Amino acid sequence: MTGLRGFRQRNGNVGTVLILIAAAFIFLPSLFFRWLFIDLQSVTVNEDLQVVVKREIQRNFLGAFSATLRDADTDKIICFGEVSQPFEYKERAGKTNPIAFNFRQWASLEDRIALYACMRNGFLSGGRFYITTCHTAYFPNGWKIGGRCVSSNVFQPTAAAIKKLLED
Amino acid sequence: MNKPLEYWIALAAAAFYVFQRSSDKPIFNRLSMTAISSALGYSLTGDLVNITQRPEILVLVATTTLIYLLLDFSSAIISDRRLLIDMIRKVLKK
Repeated sequence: MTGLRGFRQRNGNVGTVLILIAAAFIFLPSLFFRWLFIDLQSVTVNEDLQVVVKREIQRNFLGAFSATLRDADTDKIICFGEVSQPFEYKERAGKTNPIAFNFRQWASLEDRIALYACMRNGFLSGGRFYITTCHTAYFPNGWKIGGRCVSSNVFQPTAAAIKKLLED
Repeated sequence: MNKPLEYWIALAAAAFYVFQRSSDKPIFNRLSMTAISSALGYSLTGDLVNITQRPEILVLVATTTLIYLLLDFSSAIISDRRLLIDMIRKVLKK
């Protein structure tokens, strides 16, 4: 059987409805994430490792973020950091734009051991890197709604910036 | 290719589901639709996991089966020439 009648006979059942519901649940929140939760427009890191972020928080929501530092030439993951617990994003906090962040704070590298691990993996001056920041939104009961990732520019930290990072 | 066994089992299950769904079609069509859905599902999953932040296996199964539905729907529209011509006529008349 061909045509739309055949399509309806093959797919007009509970299985298809379940597939469509599952697909909507998986893909739609991420598709509309920037309008529903947080619109991370840009993340710019300079050679002194100062992070400037443009973002808009659309409403108060329970969320979390992670940051993956990668080698820009090989795409190899140098290190990964994430907040340990979801926290409340406040809409009014998103009105300050653009906003500067400390590199260790943005990359979730406040733990010195994690910072040393990054350096052992090749986070040194002269290398070319970028950060992928992923935000995730949660229901109040802790279930994940969806997320979205944004990559920064490629940056090349100076030796002085790396030294300062270790001293901070 | 270094994926866990669960990943391959999920891909095989999704492929089998697609194959089962198109039981009224000739065997070549069934096989090609299964192969296309599985290959696209496998290829797109990595990027979609990065975008959606969802578990890989869940995204793999949803993508493979959704691609099958899209393929089946588009081939149904194309093969239903009379309906397609009627729709074009209606649009042109407006």
